[in-house]
Amino acid sequence: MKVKFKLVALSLVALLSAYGLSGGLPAQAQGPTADQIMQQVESRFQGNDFVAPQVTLTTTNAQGEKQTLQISLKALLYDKKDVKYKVLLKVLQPVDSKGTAFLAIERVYPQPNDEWLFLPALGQVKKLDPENARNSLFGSVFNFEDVTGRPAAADTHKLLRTETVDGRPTWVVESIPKEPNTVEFGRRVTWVDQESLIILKEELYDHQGALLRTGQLLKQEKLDGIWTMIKAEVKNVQTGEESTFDFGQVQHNVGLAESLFDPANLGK
Amino acid sequence: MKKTGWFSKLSSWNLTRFSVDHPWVVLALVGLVTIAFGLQLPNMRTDTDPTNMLPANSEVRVQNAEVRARFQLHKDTIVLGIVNDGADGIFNPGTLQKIVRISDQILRLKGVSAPDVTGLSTVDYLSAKGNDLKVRVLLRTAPTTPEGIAALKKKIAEVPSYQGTLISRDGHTTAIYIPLKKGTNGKAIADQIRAIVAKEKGPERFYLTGDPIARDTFGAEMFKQMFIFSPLAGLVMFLFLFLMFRNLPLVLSMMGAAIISIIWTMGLHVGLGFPVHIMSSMIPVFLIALATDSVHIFNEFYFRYRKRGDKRQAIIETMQVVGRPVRYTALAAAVGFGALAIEGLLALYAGQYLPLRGAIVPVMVFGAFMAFGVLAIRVLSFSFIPAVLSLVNEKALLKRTAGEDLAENRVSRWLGKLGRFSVRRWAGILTVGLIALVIASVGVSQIHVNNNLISWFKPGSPIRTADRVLNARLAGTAPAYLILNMPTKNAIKQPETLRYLQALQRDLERLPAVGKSFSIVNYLTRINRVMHADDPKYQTIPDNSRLIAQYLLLFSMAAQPHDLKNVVDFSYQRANIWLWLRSWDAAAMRSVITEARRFAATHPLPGASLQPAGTSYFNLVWNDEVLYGMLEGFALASLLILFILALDFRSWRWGLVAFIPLLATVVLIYGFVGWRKIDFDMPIAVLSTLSLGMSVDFAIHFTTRLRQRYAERPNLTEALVWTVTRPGKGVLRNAVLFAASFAVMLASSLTPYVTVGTFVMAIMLISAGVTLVVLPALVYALRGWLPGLGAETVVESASEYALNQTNQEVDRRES
Repeated sequence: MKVKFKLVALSLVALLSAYGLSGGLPAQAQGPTADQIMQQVESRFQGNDFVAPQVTLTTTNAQGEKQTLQISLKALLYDKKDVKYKVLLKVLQPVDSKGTAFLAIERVYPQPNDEWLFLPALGQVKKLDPENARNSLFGSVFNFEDVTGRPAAADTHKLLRTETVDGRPTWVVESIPKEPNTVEFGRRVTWVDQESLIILKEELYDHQGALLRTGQLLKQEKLDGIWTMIKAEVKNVQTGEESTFDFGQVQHNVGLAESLFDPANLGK
Repeated sequence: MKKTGWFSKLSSWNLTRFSVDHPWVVLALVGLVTIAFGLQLPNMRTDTDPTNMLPANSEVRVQNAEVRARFQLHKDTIVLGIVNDGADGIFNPGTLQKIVRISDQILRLKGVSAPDVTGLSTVDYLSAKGNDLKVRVLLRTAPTTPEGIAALKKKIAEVPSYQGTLISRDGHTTAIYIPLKKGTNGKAIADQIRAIVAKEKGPERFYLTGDPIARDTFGAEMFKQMFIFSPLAGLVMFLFLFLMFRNLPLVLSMMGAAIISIIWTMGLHVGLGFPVHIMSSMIPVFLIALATDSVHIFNEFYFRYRKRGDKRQAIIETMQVVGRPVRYTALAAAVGFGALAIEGLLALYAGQYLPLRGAIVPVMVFGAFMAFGVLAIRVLSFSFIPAVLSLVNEKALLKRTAGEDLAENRVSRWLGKLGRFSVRRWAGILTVGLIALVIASVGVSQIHVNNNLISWFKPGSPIRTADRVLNARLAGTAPAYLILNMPTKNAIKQPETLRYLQALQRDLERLPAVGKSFSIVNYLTRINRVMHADDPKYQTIPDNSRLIAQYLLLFSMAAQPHDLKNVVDFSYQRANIWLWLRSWDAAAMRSVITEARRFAATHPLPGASLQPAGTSYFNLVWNDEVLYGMLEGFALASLLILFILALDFRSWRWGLVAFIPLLATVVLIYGFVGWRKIDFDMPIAVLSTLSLGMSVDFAIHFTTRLRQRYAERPNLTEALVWTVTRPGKGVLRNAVLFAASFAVMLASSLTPYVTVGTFVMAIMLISAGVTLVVLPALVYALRGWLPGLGAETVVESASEYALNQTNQEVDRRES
């Protein structure tokens, strides 16, 4: 609840600054700093858990060919010092991969995440230890950090300006990774919705400074008082591949059991 | 005048007389036109990419572009080899640190496709420990302890796909494969990589190779050399001309004609918006060479001026006597080069009706502008040169001509002897000639068509050394692709398709040209093994297609995106086999295609088809297209020239005889190419057109003058000896001049220039030899068959008859 309170307070500050009501204050006190904004984005309140029973992940390549993957998504959220999230993804479609399950335990930066994978055809649970969290999500243009959120502490941030996107006031933040060798981008610009704290737009530039990837939120909704991402798309402008992530129906605070997120139960 | 028609009216009589009478007007006009063309030159665009040899909509380019898009491949890849021949090879802290440091810097170069760079410090290493599946970059930071290095060595040894590509068998050599983004200049990146490795001190040696470097280095070098060797060839020609004629204004007028024709031609070339390609870059040198034909004018002018002392009359007479052969040689050369353009146009627009295949735009452009250039030289011969001659100080001219007589007389005496020898020993000469032709023809039949861009550099050049070293130590530096197309989506995930791929790979790897192959099979067998607790028994293709699909899903989440995309298409309908070829030779790719066809025929898989792709395949196609285009152009040009010769002499028989030196020269030169197993590549193919232009030149001068002489004095032996002696001196001078100016190209660092230099010298000397020795013997042997060599005198046109009378007078006075 502490988190929630802080958030409301900050949002209020943000609102005030956005509408210019805090006129008399010195410049640096007019709004949150870039670091504060990105911290808020990371610790945005999303309830205790949420379920998206049928997520559609569509990828289209430069030739216009299309691939669709249907998965179920379950997430358990913590506000502890150690674990931040537990996310469980299960493939529903295509048939040849049905039942393939992926479990990620996201810890507070810089602790490494844990990932498990269950391949039904092999009948075994494997613990995955990837090089970084930015591997492709089921072969799409999205990566895991797009789902779990990139830790604010992994980058240094700079507030570039405020801007209106589709009628919504945003902070435009530039982020430079602290360990550039482990990520595919050298610079990232995000447009953060001042009200929902959801990223409305982002641009990723590669290490040579060329635009690599663009992303935008297509739909967000306030469900049970929680701002929720519904649909987003990203495009790799260098390969021409494009992916859409559609959560479909999202339910918050359904009371998911901890045991669901036990690696031993992945195949069940 | 009626007989010679509009062509002569237009270019000879009026123009020459006008030029002699109004030299300043002519010089001013030429100057203005030259400035107009010259103003275009700064807009010159160059295009050194062999890809553009074929039009963008050609099948191979369209297919290659599609394959690249489907498999996210890059057209251009640079290979950096790092060699340490110390006891531990590259497995020591120093070298490993260098590998990491260098590759980190390379990843940051603009134009490098960083996510696709493959080397020890970027490639993923998949390993298993119990139920833990670990994916790491193989060499993120260099190990410093012996244990760390031993562990790395073990990891590298256990993955078969690293062997030969990332590490040599002896562990002394590693390579970084650096794909470039579209439109990046390979030489520029190569220079930056050289700067990066130059900072490293130690026992390591670095080797840089790859098609883009070869191409872009060659492109840059080519233009440098063009700017060095065209003027140098001009300078040598200038010196030789000066030694021959000892008169500066005279020599300058000839050089001027050459340079002006180059400015006109290149100005028009640039002005019409054509980029200057490898072929067009040779235009200036070729035009300088062809401008030497003006020697015939000077040669005759000297004879006449010395005897008459009236400069104006000598010029006009010279142009009258030499005019006809000069006009026809120009026409023949222009038609010869023009044939290249005509052939291309025919192939482009009437290809379906004609058995023609070459439509190579740069070849067409080259042919068309060479034709223009040759005509420009001739127009200048009839205007600019007479204008300059008429301005030359008479006293100086007289003094010089007297001086040059003595030395030249020795040559004349020797030529006279040669002429008598040819007539006396005609039977022996023709027999030897025939034997030589037969031997050469056998050589021609053994010609080996090949193009290899790397071999356009000298054997000791850095790029060729790098290519040689890396090909000897690694699996090969020339990448090629073989695509398996299946009729349905997801077909690649089926075990039987994968087993087909595996069998095909094993088959191809047995070819001497193939150093290594790689496909989705290599990933799957590796994953299968790792997922089964690293048990080598499982280094196989799973039998279960669901398991394969799930492995691939896992792999798409664990590996770098390009890993999978480079070997399989989006809908799993097509697979790409990467091949590392040991050579850029077209023959290497040809052997792959032949073997793939054989495999497909003996291993039927329903609906499967194989398709070659990549730069090596492009080179093969391009190679064939260009060479066939040149050959077809050459054949067409030969026919047209034969026709022009027959027209010029008003006789098919004379036309055929005059055609012999050309034919003999070409057969002898290409016979030598065949016997010596020299690759018949583009530069050598281009030369065939030049030999057309030059050999026919000599033959026309010889035959025309011989017939003129015989018409004056119907004594064949005397006429033949006279022709070998007097116009023959022009031929000899022309050949020597030509050979000398091309000799400078032997100093070039690019082998095509050396080849052109060598062969042009050979072409000149052989065609001069054939013209001066074999042609008299042939004419003598066929004296009963050739029309006009009977007892009666052929009556020439009125003016020529009058001229012949003067000639006779002159000669009488002389003797």
